Amino acid sequence: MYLFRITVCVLGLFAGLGCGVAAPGAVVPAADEPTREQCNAAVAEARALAASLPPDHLSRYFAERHLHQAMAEAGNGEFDECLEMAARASDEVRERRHELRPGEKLKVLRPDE
Amino acid sequence: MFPSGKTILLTAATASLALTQSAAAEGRDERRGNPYVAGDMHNHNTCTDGSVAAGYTIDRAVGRGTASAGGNNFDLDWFTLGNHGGSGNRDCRFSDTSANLPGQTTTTWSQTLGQTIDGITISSLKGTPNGTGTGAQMWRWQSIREIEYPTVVDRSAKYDKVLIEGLEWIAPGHEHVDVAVITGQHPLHTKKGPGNADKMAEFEYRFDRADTDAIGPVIDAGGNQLWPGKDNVNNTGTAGHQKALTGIKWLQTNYPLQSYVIPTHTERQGPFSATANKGYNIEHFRDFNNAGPTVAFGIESPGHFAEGGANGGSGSYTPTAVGGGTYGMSGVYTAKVGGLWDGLLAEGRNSFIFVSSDWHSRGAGGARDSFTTADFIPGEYTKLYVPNAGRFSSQHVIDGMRSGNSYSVNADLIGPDMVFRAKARGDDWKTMGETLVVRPGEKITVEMELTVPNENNSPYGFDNPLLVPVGIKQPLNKPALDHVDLITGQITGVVAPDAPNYAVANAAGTAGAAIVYNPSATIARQISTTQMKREHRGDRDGVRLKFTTTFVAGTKPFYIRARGTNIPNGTPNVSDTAGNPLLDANNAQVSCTDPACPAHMETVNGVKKVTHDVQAYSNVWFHANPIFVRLEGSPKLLVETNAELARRLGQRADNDHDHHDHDDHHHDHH
Repeated sequence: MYLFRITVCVLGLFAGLGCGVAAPGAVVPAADEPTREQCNAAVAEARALAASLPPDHLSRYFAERHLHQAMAEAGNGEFDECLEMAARASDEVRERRHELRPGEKLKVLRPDE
Repeated sequence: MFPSGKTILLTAATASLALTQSAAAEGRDERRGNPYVAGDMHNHNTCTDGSVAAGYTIDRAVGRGTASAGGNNFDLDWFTLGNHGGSGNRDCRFSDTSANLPGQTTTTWSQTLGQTIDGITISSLKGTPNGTGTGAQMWRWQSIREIEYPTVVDRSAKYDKVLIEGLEWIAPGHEHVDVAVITGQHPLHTKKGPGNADKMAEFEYRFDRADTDAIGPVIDAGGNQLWPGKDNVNNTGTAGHQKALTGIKWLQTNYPLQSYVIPTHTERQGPFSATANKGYNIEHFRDFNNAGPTVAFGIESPGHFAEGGANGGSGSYTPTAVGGGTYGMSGVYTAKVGGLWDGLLAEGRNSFIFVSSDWHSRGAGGARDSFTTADFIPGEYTKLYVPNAGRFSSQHVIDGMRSGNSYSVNADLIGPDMVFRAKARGDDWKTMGETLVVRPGEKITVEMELTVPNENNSPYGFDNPLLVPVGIKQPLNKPALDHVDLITGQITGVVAPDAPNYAVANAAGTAGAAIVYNPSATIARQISTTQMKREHRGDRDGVRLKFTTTFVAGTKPFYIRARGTNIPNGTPNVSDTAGNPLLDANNAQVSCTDPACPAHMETVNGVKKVTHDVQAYSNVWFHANPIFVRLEGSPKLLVETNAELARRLGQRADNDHDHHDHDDHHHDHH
């Protein structure tokens, strides 16, 4: 569990996933509100699922982008939207929603372009 | 020229004046010929969950031409930076790595404390400590004051446009709400300096449920609070709703003409829950308007227009949203004839609709890519038009929104010069948000003029795949209007809070789309483009369309609102036989078979479906706010009495020092 937490923390640099602590004196979320822990778990599960696809599979790329946004939502404290983005990532992988035709490429500008 | 220092509620006559005045200024700036100006009030950056720096969003939204690192700018006339409340761990002077911008990598506050970047030095994260290491977060009240507003000031000078520091309020008990408090913000004031966004920040600190900081800014070494007395407890469910009302009353009491409160993507999380934080039912919109008659005057439709996949998702709506998804890229509350919005209009309320981008990221694309699988940059796809009130200022953005004289357009279906007005006799035209007073049996003339531009911002030139099945060839980058609907509904009076029908049971999913709030609402006229008078305005300016129709006044007050679309009635998987939009998830039943259909579209069994930005450019609508009609001698409608309240408050504010601040620094658009 500890190792898992460290791993998520490194992966989630920008969102501080797994690194965040409750603010002293801050308000605890309502009982039925999603939590950071649930967000972390959902992201980790979806990330593992995405890793089951070949690195160049378009659905893996889409899933990883969804997970990136999930972490951005967590960084803003919006754990409900984190869960939503993690669910989208899982659905993307399970349903292989994006596929390239033979010879087709998804052109995304790289930072150095 | 409009008088400064006064609240201005545009009438049809003054809108005509603006048109006349601006015509004289042609040649100095083409925008000065437009009676309306385009803006966006809901968008995000890396201060919260967006993908790009605060300054970068503004640059792309209001800049002209091409961005220095690539990608089109979208030249909006005004822009409200409307970012979430709460906190964030990223330094929003930097874009996220995922934006794929040269030299930009995800940067957290923990990496930059004490450094001067873009002329701003953040020496500490203030308030209640919130996270450690890379997870250390800055409360939003601090980033509003110390990052976003200085960025607004910087870009205001750079672009000479109206920029406002706003907020997407994470409202206690509810979904989100667009808010702005412009008091104190005068970024281009030549004498007094740029001012501050402290009032906006104070609202965020006091009332945002995601901002659980218990300290806020302090005024001395002893730690005494600048904003004491925060309720940090009642953030959820029914108690949260009451706190939200307290926030609205705070705005109504302190900034009745210098703030707005517009709930957004209101259907997304389903109905309101008494024990959670989600949704709205009609009674909550009524409560909001009752608590803030001059600040809580409408609803914003969802952004996220390119999120639609093979199973729906446009607007970021899942099947559990009220309505089960979007309809013509709007939520069901505003898209359905007889729906929740029509229920509010049936009371004669000043309830108007607005639209914005909700820009976060381009999904699978970086910020400079032409395609998007998530959001559009502000100004790229959706435009919220408010009157071009002479010396245009932030005050005029709010005045225009409050007046109801505004309209919302996707994919540049129509341009900035719409006329939608009605009269009974003489030349006393009334426009959106105004009330026409008539006698029973009197003929009411309704006139509409609009320009369909020659092009929009679509990167796609292939034919609209939704229209291929009905034999229409319509390139996605060429706006085309099929028809305009004039929708009428009876006004039956304000529903009192203790009336049995004040609260109405709501439902998630498509069951929510079956709820009828105003059974009298109907498509009273449908005017095909082929029935309109046409005037070609040259290759650059598109086609001017005009029609006039008449109604006969009955014995009851009513309203007339308008919408238009590129979609003919009965288009399979898109519209019903009356012309109402179907659930947008159905669009994905249609295949995109053109060889140019892009690689990022979702596929089913290897076949590309109408999804993402292709869907957004295929299913295009505009919505215009209502004109109200009542009988001579009958009691004034709530929309009238609330407008009168705003006028009285405006007169009182003539002596208010800060109110003058806003009108003193306008940009002169004439």
